[in-house]
Amino acid sequence: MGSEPAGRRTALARLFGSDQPRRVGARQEARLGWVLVLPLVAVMLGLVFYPLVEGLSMSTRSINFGTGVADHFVGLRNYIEALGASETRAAALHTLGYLILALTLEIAGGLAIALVLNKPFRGRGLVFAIVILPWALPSVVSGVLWARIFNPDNGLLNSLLLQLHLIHTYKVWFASPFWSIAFVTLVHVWGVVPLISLILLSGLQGIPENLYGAARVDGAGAITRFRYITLPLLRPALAVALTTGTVIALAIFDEIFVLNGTALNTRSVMMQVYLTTFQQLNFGQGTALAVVLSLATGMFALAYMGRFRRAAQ
Amino acid sequence: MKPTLAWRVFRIVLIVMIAAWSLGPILVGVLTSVSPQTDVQAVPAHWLPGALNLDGYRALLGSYQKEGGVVVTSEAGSFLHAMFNSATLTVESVLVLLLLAVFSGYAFSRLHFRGRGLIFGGLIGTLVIPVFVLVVPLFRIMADLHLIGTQIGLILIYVTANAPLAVWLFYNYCREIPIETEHAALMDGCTRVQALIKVVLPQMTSGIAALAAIMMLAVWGEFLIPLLFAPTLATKPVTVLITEFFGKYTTNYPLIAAAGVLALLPPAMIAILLNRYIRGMLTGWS
Amino acid sequence: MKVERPRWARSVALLTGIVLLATACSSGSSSGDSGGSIKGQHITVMVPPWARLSKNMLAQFEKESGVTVDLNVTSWDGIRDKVAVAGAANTPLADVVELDWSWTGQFGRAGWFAPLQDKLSSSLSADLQNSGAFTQGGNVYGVCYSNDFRISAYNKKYFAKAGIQTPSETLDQLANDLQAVKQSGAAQYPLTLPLSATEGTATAWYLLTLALGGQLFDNNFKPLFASPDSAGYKALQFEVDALKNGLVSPGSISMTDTQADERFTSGAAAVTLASGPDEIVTANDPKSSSIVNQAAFMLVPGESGPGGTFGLPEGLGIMSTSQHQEAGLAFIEWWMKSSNLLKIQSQLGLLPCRTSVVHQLVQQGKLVGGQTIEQQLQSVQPLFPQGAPPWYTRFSTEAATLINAAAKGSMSVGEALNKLASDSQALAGG
Repeated sequence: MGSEPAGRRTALARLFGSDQPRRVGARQEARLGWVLVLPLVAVMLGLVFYPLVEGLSMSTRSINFGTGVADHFVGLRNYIEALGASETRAAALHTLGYLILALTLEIAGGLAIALVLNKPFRGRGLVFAIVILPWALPSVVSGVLWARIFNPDNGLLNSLLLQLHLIHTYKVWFASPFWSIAFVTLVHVWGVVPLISLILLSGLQGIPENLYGAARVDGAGAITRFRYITLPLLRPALAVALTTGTVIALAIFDEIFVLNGTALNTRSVMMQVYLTTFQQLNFGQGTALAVVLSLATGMFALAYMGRFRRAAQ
Repeated sequence: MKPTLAWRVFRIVLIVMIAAWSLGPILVGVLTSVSPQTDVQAVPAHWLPGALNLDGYRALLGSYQKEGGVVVTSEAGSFLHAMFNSATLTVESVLVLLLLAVFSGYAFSRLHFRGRGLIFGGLIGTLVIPVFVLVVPLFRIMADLHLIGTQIGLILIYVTANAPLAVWLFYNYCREIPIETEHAALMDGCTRVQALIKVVLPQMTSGIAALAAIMMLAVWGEFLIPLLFAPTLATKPVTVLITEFFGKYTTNYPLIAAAGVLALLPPAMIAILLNRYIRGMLTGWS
Repeated sequence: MKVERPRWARSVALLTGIVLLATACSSGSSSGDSGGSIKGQHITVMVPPWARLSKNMLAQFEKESGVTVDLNVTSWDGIRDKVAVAGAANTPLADVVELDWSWTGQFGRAGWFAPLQDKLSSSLSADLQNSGAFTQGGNVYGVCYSNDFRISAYNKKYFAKAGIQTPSETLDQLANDLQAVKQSGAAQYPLTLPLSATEGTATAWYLLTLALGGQLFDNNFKPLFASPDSAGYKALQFEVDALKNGLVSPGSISMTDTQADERFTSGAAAVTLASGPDEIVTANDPKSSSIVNQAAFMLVPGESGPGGTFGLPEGLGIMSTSQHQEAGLAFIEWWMKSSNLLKIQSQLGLLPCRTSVVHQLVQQGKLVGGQTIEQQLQSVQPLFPQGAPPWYTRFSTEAATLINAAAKGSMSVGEALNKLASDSQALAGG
């Protein structure tokens, strides 16, 4: 992503029949560029990159307050131990499950919502507000409500399904590994879809309206327009949405803890990170596992961007 | 070309489904907030309250007398204070984020300067770092700068946590927006800065509004950061305050649900406000 | 461009430098109190919501001592996370901070709390229960302010309906009584017991293990629950059998202790085994309970009669990074005055840890179910007589997770306890 976005720029330039701006005043342009990004660069250096270096260094030291081992450099041992644990492997598998399920639902649902909101209609403001509510609900409250819904003894889901004659006895949802993962994902998706739809909506906002007009004149139908205008131009936003969805899904934790505690069949990697860091006070190993998680997230993100840049050319 | 009837019906069905999906659990929250605690606990639960119970709202909005064992573990007025904190923190952080994201997003997409790719890549790369990696060093830095429990401290962290997403989105947006108007302005003798402020930005209101909505949600929902960096009611947001409503062995469902319902109102109102700036593409779909 | 680059580079370097410098210079250099007057000092106190002292009481302390207090109320889990982050960052957090008995091993070992044994007045130390729970490596790190312990409760009306007039005294008798209640139709699943993978599940199992006269570990932290004739094994077998025999709701495998307890106060269950000393207050409150005036305490049933139980006390500690340790200590000593403990008990319902004060409360009839409480308090023992080990939290998470697996049937009782035993041996060894 760091290189020149040549493909996109020329594609757009072709579309609009314009060329690159003339490179007059290149020096002023560079100076303005720096002035505009400098404040951001400064805070990021101080509050992200500097702590990041410290954090990386923590992950290579034996910082374990639970055992009181002296703090010394241990190289990659924290990484090897964290990755070697059988719980980590199980957690990685569950997390992958959450990720795939969640992204599928979030992109499909988010796209539908964004497309609906991208068209003005009476009451759109209200629908817009309704759509964001799940994210705006504080997560502790949403945890309490979902726990009420899934409660095996007096939950809404059971009494609803029973009244609809879809089940005959109350189900203990979290006794089943499948339903556990499915319901945790559902709760996760419910909270994240608002963000994904808004990201996709902001992508739709960038698509020039006159493209559709031209396509209409050419007699293109709705599906054709979506397929050949909306979707290709939405690719950068899709990359952002997928990356954001991945970052959040790989960090899944609260929903699991509220609905199923630390049960073995639903633990996620982030839960391992939390248990290692905050319960065992093994900051070295916990940080190492968190770094691995961010590397994995990074690889997913690069894959999306590579895929979408190639597709755009 | 009018959309066909089938399309219109399909769209209405879709809107109803979206609303039902979003509102279902919220409705459970609203019902819980006005139910007596005993109705919530009953086996099987009574989903429609037997009697209207507004104690939760009274406790939060400040005219509640403690009665019996249902202890309201908060002081009168603290909820409104925390709501106010949430609102101020959100508005201020979003303004700073917009300022930074709009100008740097524009710079990354339209200006050529050395190191651009590297800086942009480094910035977006921070998206994937979980807060657990940073939290201990960050706590030390903020303590040393005496920024724990201050608004500035929180805003700084919110900004660094959310800027990568904001910049990336706005960068994408700038690249989609037609560039000729800016060129025309430059031809007319505008400086780059004049062109940016007078011509380019006004053209981008819908993108900025969408970005504002996203950032508002991101900041409103923050929990771990204020838990650590906002110890007192001077800056504590509502997401953190609500965790204090849990008793040791009891959950006061109506109170917690009422707090959740009230916490929804400000973001919902801002969304309705922002809707006006979101462009509608009449021809976009259907 | 060439001319400008160094300038930008310099400002960035300068900015980073300032940040680095700021963080490098101001750490360390903590000077304790010089032993002079504490008047005029300001302390920060971090407690969970149930220990929120009233403004009036704090004003009283400020008047008496000249020390001003900032009360930071934070959720219990939140306090734990904050202590961990501030401790790892070696940064001050607050002067007086909640110290739960279960954190003592870890936080004491990590050196984040200051030892208090030489600072407390001997009359207070002698009167305090539970100080063993705040001891690690010979140091006392906390002063108990909340005398929480596990006690059982039963529904008299449901028992009477099944023709039973007295509370169950042994676990065998309990199983019979519960069957009778089930037969009588008063409750479909008469016992409520958390079996999800959450902390409360482990707590209930510990309780039954102690009630059956057993211990979790011997003095060398060798696990004592793996063999089928051990108390720990029988305790878990009892729980799993109760689930299989329909005495406990199948839904319990995804219920926390709070949710399980709601089954009791809602009238869905007749017995809750591992509840707390304020259970009857809750059960008699018409706002939160459907069984007003039906519930009573029951000594935890054991092997051949009422068995032992254990305490989950909460204490106040002083952080090592505190600059006002003497003022903090003065605050704790003030809290522990009889008159203040009585006031706090009436306002917040916290059962004090001073034997003399509890006795006073019982005498004056101010404790609901006071006599049973006082009787049960006689058999309260610490879960770890030698002090909680630093790996306690991890052990507890493991225990809850494995009990949950046994309840779901994905492991047998023997498998779960053998895994827990080998895991805890590894924890104790390394």
